[in-house]
Amino acid sequence: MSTREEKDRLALLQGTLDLLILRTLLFGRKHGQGIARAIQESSREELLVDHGALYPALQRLEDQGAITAQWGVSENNRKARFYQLTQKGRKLLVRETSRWRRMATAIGYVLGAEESD
Amino acid sequence: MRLWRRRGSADFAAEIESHIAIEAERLREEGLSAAEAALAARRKFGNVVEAQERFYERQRILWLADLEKDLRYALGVFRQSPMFAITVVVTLALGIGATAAIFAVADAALIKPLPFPEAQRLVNLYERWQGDLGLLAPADYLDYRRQAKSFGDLAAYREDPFNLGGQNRPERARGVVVTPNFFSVFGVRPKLGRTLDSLQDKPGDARQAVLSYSLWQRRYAGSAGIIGETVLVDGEPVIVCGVMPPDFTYPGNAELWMAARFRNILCGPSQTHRHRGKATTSKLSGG
Repeated sequence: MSTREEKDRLALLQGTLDLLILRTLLFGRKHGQGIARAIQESSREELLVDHGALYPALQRLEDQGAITAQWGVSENNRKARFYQLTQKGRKLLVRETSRWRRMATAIGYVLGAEESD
Repeated sequence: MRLWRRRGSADFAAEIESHIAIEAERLREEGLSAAEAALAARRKFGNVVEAQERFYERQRILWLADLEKDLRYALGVFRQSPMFAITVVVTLALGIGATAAIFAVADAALIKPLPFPEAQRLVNLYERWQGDLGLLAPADYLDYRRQAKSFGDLAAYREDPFNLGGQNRPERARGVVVTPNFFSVFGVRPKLGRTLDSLQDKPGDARQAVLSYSLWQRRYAGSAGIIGETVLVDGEPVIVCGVMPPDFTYPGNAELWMAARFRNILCGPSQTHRHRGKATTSKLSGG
C-alpha cells in the first residue's frame, strides 16, 4: 500500500485541503482517517496529507457549515466522528472546484506546454 | 446563528485518538506488529498536543468572532426598529431600577443594623386605638414609664415640623418633640455640646433644642459657636444645646429635636389618656 516514501510526496498547497476534503465527502460520509486515506489514494499517492492539519481544517469547515459531524461506528467497529457534506458545502465545492481549475489552467499557460516524459 | 453548545476539547481529543487507532489498525492489516503499528500511526499524525492547541485557540477566536457578530446583529436590529430598542432599554432600566430600589429598602430595613448601640434591645411601642395602630397618649406614657418593669427606659417623641427664624431666612425644619431622655435611650452621644438629658423642665425656662449635623452644617455653617445661642423656633426663642453626629437622624430625617415640655405632655385632653399623637421608643431592660 505505502508504495511511495513519505518524503517523496507533494505537500499540499495552502488552501487546497478544504477543497479536497469537500470533494472526498461528495460520495458519502467519512471519518477523518478515511478522508486522509481517500485523498492520498485518489491522488495516486502523490499528495501527503498532514493528519495533524486535517482536523483543524475539518473543524473550520464544520464551523462554516459546509460539513456536519456525528459520532458513529466505523466498519471495524470503532468509534469515529463521521463528516457529511451539507447543501452549503456542495455549493462551496462547485465554486472552489471551478476556481481551482481556472487557476491550474492559468498556471499551465504561464508555464507553457507540458513536456512529454 | 449558533445556538448549540460548541464542541469541547475532550471531544476533539477523542477524535484524534480514534483516528490514530484506525490508522494503526490499517497498518496492522498491512503486516506491521501491533506495537509498530501503534507507533507508526502516532508518528504519522504528528504533534497531537499542537493539534489540540490549535483547536483550542480556534474555538477561542470563534467565540470572540461570534460575540462580535451577535453584537453587530443586535445593534442592527435596534437601528432598524428604534421603538423596539426603546422598549427594551426602558424595560431593562425599570427592572434594574425597581430591583435596586427594593434592595435599598430591604438593605436598610433588614440587613443593615440600626446605627445605635444595642440596637436589638430597642423597641417601638404603639397603642391600638379603634382598630388602628394609634399613638401613645402622654399620660399613658407617664404611666408606662412608672409602672412597666420590662423596659430599661421609655422615651416618647412626636414628629412636628418647625419654622426656623432668626438671622437667616426662615425655613421649615423637620422637627421632633422628644422627652428629655430620648437620646440616652438610643445611647447616642452628641457631636457637640450636650443633649437634653440634664434638662430641668421647669416652667419659665427657655426651651432647648438639639440640631442635626446636616442642619448645623447647612444653616449655621458648622460653627461651634452655635452652642448656647438662641434661635427662633416657631417664633419662640430656643437655646441650642447640642449637635448630633451625622448618622443620627431618627426619626425619619429629623433635623431638630426639641424637648417636650411637661405641660405639653400633659396638656389638654391627654390627661384623660386619650390619644394625642406620640410614638414612644423604649429600651428593654437587660436580662
